[in-house]
Amino acid sequence: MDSQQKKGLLELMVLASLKYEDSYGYIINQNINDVMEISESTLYPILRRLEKQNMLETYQTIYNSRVRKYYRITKEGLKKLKQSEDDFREVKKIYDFILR
Amino acid sequence: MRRKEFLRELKDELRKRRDIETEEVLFYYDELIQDAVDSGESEDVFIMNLGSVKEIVRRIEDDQEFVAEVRDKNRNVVNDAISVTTKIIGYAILIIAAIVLGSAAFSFFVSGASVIIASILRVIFSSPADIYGYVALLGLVIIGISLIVFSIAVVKWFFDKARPSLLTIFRNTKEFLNRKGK
Repeated sequence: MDSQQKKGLLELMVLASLKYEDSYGYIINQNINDVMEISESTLYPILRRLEKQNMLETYQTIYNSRVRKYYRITKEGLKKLKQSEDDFREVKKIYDFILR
Repeated sequence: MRRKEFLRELKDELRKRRDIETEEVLFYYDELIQDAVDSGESEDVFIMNLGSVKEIVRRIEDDQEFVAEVRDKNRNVVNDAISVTTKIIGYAILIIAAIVLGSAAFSFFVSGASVIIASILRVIFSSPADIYGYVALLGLVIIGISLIVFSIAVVKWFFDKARPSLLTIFRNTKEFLNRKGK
């Protein structure tokens, strides 16, 4: 898979992993690694990208007397996710056809 | 390699790039390493798997162009908001000036007119006894005329000066209403 495509998919995976609950860097990384192997240094640019596009917002909580940054999906992010879900359903039909 | 050591190296590498938010990146990796350790991973292995700091910074840099693009877009939004605010303030000042000048001009006009009318009525209903009375009334009439001329001049000057702005306000309002209609 080429890197640009991977980046786009990673963005969507991050959004999807935050669809139901807020999370932080380490856990997001783990969730994505279950499906697609990425190095830890891949995620930071993606998170930043999404934050700059206002698809994610962040807040800080205290954990073990240190600060932890949580990511929350925004309305904008949900919209993007919904749109890509529709796209994927369409693509899935095509793949099913090819792979049958 | 230990966390502190890694972060110091990362900081040194980030320092070479002015456009990357150093603190944010350091914070992210600091948290990541501590979370990994808290979940039972080996600090050394985890940090080794992060790859070299050069690679980390390069990846952020690769994305820099995109981030800059988004930032520019946001900045334009801010600029637009500022210029709209400035315009609105400008229009408000213009409208206040119109009200102040307008009422001043109106009062000059009315007092000028009433002085003239009063003088004419005086001549009609009880003519002055001597020439001095007429001269005094003539003086009043001249004062009245100059008040009227002055008030008209003020209004005319204002409209000449403000015409471009007034036209802009008019056009913008019309555009705004049209857009709202759609």
